[in-house]
Amino acid sequence: MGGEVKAPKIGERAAYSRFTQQELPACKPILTPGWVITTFIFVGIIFIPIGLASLFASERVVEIVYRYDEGCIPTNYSDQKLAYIQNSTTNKTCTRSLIVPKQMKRPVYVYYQLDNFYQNHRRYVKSRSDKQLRSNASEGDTSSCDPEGVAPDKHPIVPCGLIAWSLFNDTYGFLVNNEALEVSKRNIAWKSDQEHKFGSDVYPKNFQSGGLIGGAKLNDTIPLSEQADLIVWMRTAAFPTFRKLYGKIEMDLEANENVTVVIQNNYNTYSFGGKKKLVLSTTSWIGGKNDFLGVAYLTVGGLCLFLAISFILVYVVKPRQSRKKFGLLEKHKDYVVRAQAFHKKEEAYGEKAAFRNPDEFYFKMIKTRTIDGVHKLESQANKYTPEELMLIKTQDIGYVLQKVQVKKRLSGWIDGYGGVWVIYGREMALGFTREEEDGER
Amino acid sequence: MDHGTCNQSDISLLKRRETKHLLKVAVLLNDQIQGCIVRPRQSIAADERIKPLPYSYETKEEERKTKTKTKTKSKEDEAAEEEEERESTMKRFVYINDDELSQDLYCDNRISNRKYTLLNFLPKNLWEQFSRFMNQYFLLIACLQLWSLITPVNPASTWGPLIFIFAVSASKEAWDDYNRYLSDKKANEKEVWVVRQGIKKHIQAQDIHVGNIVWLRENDEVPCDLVLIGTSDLQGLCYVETAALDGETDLKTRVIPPACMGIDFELLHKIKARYSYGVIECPNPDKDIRRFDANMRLFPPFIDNDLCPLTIKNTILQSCYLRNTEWACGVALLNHQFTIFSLFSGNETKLGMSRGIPEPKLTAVDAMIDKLTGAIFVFQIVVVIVLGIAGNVWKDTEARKQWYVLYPKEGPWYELLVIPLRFELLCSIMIPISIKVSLDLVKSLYAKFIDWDYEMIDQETGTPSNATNTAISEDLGQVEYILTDKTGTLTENRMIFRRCCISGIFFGNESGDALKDVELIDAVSSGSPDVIRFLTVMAICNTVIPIKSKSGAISYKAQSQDEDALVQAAARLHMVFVNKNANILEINFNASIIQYEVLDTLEFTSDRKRMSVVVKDCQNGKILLLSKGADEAILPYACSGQQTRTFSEAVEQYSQLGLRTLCLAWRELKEDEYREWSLLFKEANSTLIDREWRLAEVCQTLEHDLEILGVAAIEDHLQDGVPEAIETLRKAGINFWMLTGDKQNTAIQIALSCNFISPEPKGQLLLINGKTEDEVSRSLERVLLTMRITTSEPKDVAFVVDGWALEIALKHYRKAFTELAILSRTAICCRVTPSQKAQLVELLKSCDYRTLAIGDGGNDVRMIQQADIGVGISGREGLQAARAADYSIGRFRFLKRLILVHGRYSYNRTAFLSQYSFYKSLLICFIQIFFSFISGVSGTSLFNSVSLMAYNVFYTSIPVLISVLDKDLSETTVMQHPQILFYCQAGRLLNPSTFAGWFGRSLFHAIVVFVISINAYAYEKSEMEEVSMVALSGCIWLQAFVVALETNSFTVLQHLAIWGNLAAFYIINLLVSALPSSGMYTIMFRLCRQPYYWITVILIVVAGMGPVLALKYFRYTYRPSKINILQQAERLGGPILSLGNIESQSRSIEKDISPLSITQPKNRNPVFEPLLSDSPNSTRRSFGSGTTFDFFQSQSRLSSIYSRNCKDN
Repeated sequence: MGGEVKAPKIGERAAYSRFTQQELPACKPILTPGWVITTFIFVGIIFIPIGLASLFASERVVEIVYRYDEGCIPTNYSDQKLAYIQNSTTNKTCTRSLIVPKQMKRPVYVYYQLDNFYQNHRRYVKSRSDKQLRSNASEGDTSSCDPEGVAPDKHPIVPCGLIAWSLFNDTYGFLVNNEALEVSKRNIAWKSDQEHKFGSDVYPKNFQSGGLIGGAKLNDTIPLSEQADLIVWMRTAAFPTFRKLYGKIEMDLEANENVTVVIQNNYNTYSFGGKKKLVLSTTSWIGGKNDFLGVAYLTVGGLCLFLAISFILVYVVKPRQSRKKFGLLEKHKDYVVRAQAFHKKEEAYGEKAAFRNPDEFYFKMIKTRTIDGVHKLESQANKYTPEELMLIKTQDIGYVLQKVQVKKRLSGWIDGYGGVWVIYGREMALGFTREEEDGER
Repeated sequence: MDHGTCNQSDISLLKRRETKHLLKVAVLLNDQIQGCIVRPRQSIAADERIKPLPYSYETKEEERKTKTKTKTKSKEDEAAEEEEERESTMKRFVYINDDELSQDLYCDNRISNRKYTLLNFLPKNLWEQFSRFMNQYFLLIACLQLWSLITPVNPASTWGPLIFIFAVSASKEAWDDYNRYLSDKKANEKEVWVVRQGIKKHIQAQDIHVGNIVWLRENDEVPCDLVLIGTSDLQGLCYVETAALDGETDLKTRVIPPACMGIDFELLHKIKARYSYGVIECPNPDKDIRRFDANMRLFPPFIDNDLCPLTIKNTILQSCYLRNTEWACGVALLNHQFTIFSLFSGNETKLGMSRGIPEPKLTAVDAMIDKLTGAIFVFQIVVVIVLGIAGNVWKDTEARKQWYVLYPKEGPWYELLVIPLRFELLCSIMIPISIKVSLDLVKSLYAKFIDWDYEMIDQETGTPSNATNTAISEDLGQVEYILTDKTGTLTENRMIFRRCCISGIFFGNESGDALKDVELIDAVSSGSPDVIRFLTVMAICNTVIPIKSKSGAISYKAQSQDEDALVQAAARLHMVFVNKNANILEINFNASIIQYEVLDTLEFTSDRKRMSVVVKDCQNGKILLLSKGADEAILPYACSGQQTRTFSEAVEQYSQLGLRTLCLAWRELKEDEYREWSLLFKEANSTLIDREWRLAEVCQTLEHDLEILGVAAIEDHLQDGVPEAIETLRKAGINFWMLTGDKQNTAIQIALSCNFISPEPKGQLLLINGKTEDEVSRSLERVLLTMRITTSEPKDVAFVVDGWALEIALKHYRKAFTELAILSRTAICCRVTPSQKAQLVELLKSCDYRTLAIGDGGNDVRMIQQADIGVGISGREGLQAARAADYSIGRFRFLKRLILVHGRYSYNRTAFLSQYSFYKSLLICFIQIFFSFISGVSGTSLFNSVSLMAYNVFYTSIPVLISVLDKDLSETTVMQHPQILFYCQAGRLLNPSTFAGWFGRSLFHAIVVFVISINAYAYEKSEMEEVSMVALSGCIWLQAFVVALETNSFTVLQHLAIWGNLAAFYIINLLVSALPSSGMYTIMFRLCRQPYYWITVILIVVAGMGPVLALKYFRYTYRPSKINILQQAERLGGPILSLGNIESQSRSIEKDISPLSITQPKNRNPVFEPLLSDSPNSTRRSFGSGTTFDFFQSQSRLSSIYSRNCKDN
C-alpha cells in the first residue's frame, strides 16, 4: 500500500457514544452460591418428573422382539447358512408363533430390525440419485450411483444405486387364531418423501436385472412414489442397528394371544453375521420403547440435586474464601439483617426528630445566642468568621513587615551575627525565630 | 489503467539513460566551446573523476534500447561514453529548463500510489493472499474436496467460506486502492505554473518534467522536489512548512544557492540549455529527507560558473507548503521521488524509508495461537493416520463381507490413500477457517476503541490517541519492560530559562528564576561585559527565526525548544533578537541596534553535541566564534588559561536540581585564521560523500581555545500525571528503564521526582561508570554483586549507567550486563545515543521480554521501531516518533490507560476468542470422528454440507465476535488494582494448559452430544438426517451456553447475539427444510413438532453444561483467581469496593508491601525461560517462587478494619 502514513488528525474526534467508549450498560452476573445452587435444584426438580414421565411412557409400550435369522435355518443347513440363503431353490418359509405378553392397542407397528448392517457406510450412503428418484426426466442421472448405476447393457437402472439394490426382501404374514391379520402398508413411508422425493411418474427399470441380484425386486408397473417399502428403506439409518417399519396391524392384540408368523427368510445377513429381528410394538408419545431418555433424565436430575445438596453442605462447612474473614456466622444474610436493623433505626430516629416537641428542654436552649438572626452555640459565637480571619491575617502580614523593617535597621548587628541576611525571604524567616526567642527570654 | 510510467525496470533503465545524457552534455558543451568561453568538458569529467565509482553495466540489450532513444550521437564519442558510463551511474544530471531534453529522461511527475491495475488486480491479490500459510492449507483442502471419491460433503462447504473470506479481503484491498487512485488523480491534476519555451504556462502537476522551472505562490503546495533558484525575497530566502513530511509545524527557511543570488527575475525564465546553461548534479533519489548533497553549475551569462554546493537548505520537497513568501521558483528535480519507491512496495517511499522498514510485528498471542494451531495440526495428522489405518483394516476384514457395499475385488493403486484422505477432509475443520478473519476483525476493533477513547484525548491540543498498527493490541497487555525517553516524554518539553552562572557568579539561585534576579538585571543595565557577552551568545548562537507580527510583537520560530528558551530569556533581559535578514542579524540592546553578519553556521548534531556560529560584528569588524553545547562538548575545549572548575560545579549543581544545562562560550577569530578555515569548510560543504562526517571534522578544527562565558540552566516541567502513571504501572509489575541523552544528575533527579526510583532509605542507586574497560568491568561486577544480594531485601534498587560505560559494557561484557538487566527492575541510562537506545531494546528482547518503547523525538525513532511496541508521543518535537510508532498518544499518562485498559481487555478478549474458535471446531470434529466408528470407519460425514459450512461461518462466529465487548473487570477496578495485569503478562489466559481445558471441554461436549443423540434416536428413530440435525442443534445450544457462561458482562448486544443466534439457527434451518431439493427437506419441521426432540436437546444442554458450571463455580468459590476475587468484590460490593476511605490507607500499606511482594523477586533465575510455561501454576520469573501475589493481603488487613467498623455500628 502506498506511502500514505496516517497522521493522527488533530481535533478529529469520533462521535461520542457508549459503544465507542465501551460503556454500554451491562449486567454482570456472578457465580454466587445462591444462584448456582438454585439453578441446580431447579434443574433437578424439573428433570425428575420429566424422566419419570418418559420412563413411564416407555414402560407402557408393549414390544415383542423375535430374532429369526438363526432359527429359520433348517437344521440340515446349519453349517452352510450362506449356501442356504443364496440358493434360490431352497424353501425359505419359516413359521413361528409368538405370544402377546400384554394387550397391544392398535395400531400395532411391525418392524424389522437389522443388526450390524452399515447403512451409513460411506460407499453405501452416497450411492443413490435423488434426482432420478424425483422425476422421470433425469432418468439417466446415475453418476453418483456407482457401482449399480447402469445395467450391463448400459441402460440406466431405475432406481439406481446400492441402497435401492440391497432392498430388504423378507416378508411376514400374521395369523391369529388361524385368521390372517392384515398388515397395512399405508402411511408407513413419510408423506413428504412420497410426494416430493419419489416421483409418481418414475417406474422401476432394469432393476435387479443384472448379473448380481441384491435384495428385493420391484413391480415395474407401480411408480416409485407408491413403493412404500423402498421409500422406507431409502431413508438410510444412522446407526448399524436400526428398525424399519414393515407395516401396521390395525387391530388390538389381546394378552396371551398366540400370533403365528409366516416369515419368508430371503435376505442375506449371514455373510456378515448380521441379526434379523421381527418387532411388534405399540407406540406412545415418546415413540417406541426406549428407556434411555427416562433413565438419563432421572440420572441427570438426581446428579443435579446431589450437586446442589453437596454445594450447600460445602458452603456451610467451608464458606467462601472472601467471606472467611467474617467468621463462621458472618454470612451475607447476617450483614443484611444488620443493615436492615440499622436503616430501621435510622428511620425511627428520623421520625422521632420530626415529631420532636419544640418546647422540650434541651441544652442548646440555654447555650445559644442569636447573632444576626442565626442561632449559634455560645462557644462558637465568639469565633471569627472566615472574613474576619482573613483580615486578621493581613494585619499579621503588616505586623511581620513592620518587624522586618525594624530588623533591617538593625541589620548591621545581625549581619555579624547570622551572616545570611542578604536574602529577604530568609530574613523574614529568621526574624520570626529571633522574635520567638526574644519572647521566651 | 496505466499508472505512472515508472516501474522497476524503468528505473534501472533511467540510470543508464542518465549516462547517455552525460554524453549529451558533452555535445552541448562542444557547441558552447565554439560560441564562447566555458571550460572544456574535460573539466567536468575531471570533477567527476574525483570519486570514481566501481560501477558498470553490461546488459547489451538495455543498451541497445537506450541507443535507439537518444537522438544525437556521434561515433567518436562512443569510447568516452563508455568510460563515463562507468563513472557516473550513481549520479543524475538535471538540465535546467531544457524542454526537449528532459522529455524522455526521467519519469514525469505523475503520482501513482496504486498497487493494482484493473488487469493485474485479481492475480496479484490472489497471489498475495495465498502467500499466507493458512490460506494455502485451506486451498489444498478445498482442492481435495473436488475429488468426489473422497469428499465427505459437498465441496461448497469449504469453497463457500474460502471464497467469502477471500472476497472480503480482496474487496477491502480494492476499495483502498480505489481511494488511492482518487487521491492520486486529485494531486496529478492540480494546476501549476511552469516555464515552457521561456513563457510561464499553466499545466497539470503530472506534466512537470525534471528540469522544468516551477513557479510557486504563497501557500502553494510544492508539487515535486525543487531546487530553489529564485524567491521574492531579496536575500533569497523563503519559508516552508514541512508538516506533511516530518510533522514539524515550525517554518523552515530555505535559501537559494549563492550562484543564483541576484539573478534577475526576468532572466530566470531564460536559464536554458541553448544559450545559457545550467546543470545540477545530484545523487540518485534516496530516502533521507534531511540530506541532499548536490552541486549546481551555471554557465554564462552567469558570471560565476564555479561549482556551487547544494544542500537540503536549497531544496523544497514535495508536499511542503510555501509560507510567508510571495513567490518562489525552482528547478524540478527528482520528480515524485516518493512515489518512485512506492512502486516497489508500500514501505519504500521516502517517508516510509525515512522511518526504516518496520517488520510486521507478531504478538505473543499470535505466536501462541500459531503454536496451538501447529499442535492441532499435528493432532489432526495423528487422528488421520490412526483412523486411516483403522479404516483400511476394517475395510479389508469387515467391509468385504458386507455384500451390499459391493467393494470391488481390485481397487486402483491409490486405494490405500482414499480413506486417510477422506479423514483428512473430515478433520480439516479442526483448524477453524474463520479464526484469522475474526481475529483480524476484532483486532481492528480494538484499535478503533483506542482511537475512539475520549479519556485519551489530550484536552490541551485536542490530539486523540491513534493506533497505527492495528494488529498488536494484545501485546500491550503483556508488556514487561517500558523504555522511556525523558525529554518531551516524561517532561513537557516546554523549556524555561531558570538559572545561569556567568563567570563564576550564580544568578537565580534564590528566587529560582534568573530573569527576576535583581542582580542580573542590575548587571545587565550596568553593562557588565561578561554578562553582555553571555547574552549575546544566547541571542545569536542559534537558528531561530524572529517573526514580526503586524502589531510589532516579535515571536520566534525555533526548531529546538532550548534555543527558543534562550532567545526568549535574552529578550527579557533587553537583548532582543529583532530581525534576521539573510545573513545579517539585528539585535536590539537597550534601544540600540547592533548588527552581526553570520558568516557560517556549524550546525548541531547529536554526535558533536554543540553548535556554533561564526559572526562578524558589523560595528568593529571582529570575527567571533560563538558556541553553545553540552558541558562535555564545550568545557574540554576551554582556552588553556581558563579555570573551568566553577563551571563544572555549576553544571553539577544545576543538574542536581533536575535542570538542563548548556555551556556558552566564545572566541575571537583572526581574520586569516578564519579565511583559511572557511576554505576548508566550503570544500567539506560541497563534498558529496560523507559530508556530515567531514564537516564535523572541519568544525572541530575551529572549536577550540574557547573562552567559557557561563552556564545556562533550563527547566523542563514534568508532564501531568506522570508520577501517578509510573507508580501504577510499576505496581502492575512493569519494569521501567529511562534512556535519555541528558546528564546523569538531571536524569536521576527527574527519575526521583516521577516515582521512577525511591529516595535513599528505600531505594538504592548503583552506578556503573568508568572510562576504560577495566573500570567498567569492575564497577559492573560490583553492581551485580550488590544486586544479587539486595534482591532478597525489600529495596528498590536501580542502576545508573552512562553512554560511555554502556558502550563498553555492551561490547565486552554483554553477558554480565544482560544478567544485570534481568535482575534490575529499574535502570537509568544517560548520555545514550539513539542507536544505543535501540541496542538496549534489542538486549531486553533477546531475553524474551516484551518491551514497549515510548518517546517523542527523532532520536527515539530507532528504539520505537526496535521494540515490540512503539509508542510515540505527539509532542513538541514534531510527529516523527508518533509516525514511526505503533501507537501515538498525546500525553505520557495515557500510557496507563493504554496498557491497563486497552491492552488488558484486548488480551483477555483475544484469549477467549481464539480458544473458543478451536473449541467449537474441535467439538464438531470430534463428533464426526466418533461417528466414523459406528459407520464402519469409512469416512461418512454425519453432518450435511450446509450445516458444516454455516456452523463455522455463522452459527458459531457471531456470538463470539460480540464477546469482544466483554469486560471482566471494570476499568476503575483495574486502575485501582493494577497488579491484576500480571495475568496478562504471564499469559495466564492463553497458554497450552488453558487450551487443554478447552480441548477437554470440547471432547466432553462431543461425547455428551454423541452419546445422547445416538441413544435417544436409536432403533426406529435412527434416521440419518434427523440424527444429524439433533446432534447439530445439540452443538449449537451447547456453544451458546458456553459463550454465555464465559461472558462476564452482558450488554444488549451480547444477549442479542447469543440468543438471537440460537433463534437464527432455527429460522435458517426451517427455511432450508422447506426446500424440497435440499437434503434435509421437512426434517426441521418434523423435529420441532416432536416433544422428544426438545427433551433430548435440553438433556444435552444440562448434561453438557452442568459439570462445566459446577466446576467453574467450585473454582470460582474455593480456588478463585485474583480476577475472580476482584469480580466478586466489585459486584457484590464487598469491602474492596467501598474505596472511599480505604484508598489512601491501601496506598500506604501498598507502599510498604510493594517492594516485598511484586517488585522484588526472591530468587530470580537469570537464565531465560520461555514466557509462557506449560503448567497453569507457572509463574513468571520475576515472581520468585517464595513470593506471594500479595496485594490481597493488604485487603484482608483492610477488611478487618472494615469489619471492625461494621461491628461498631
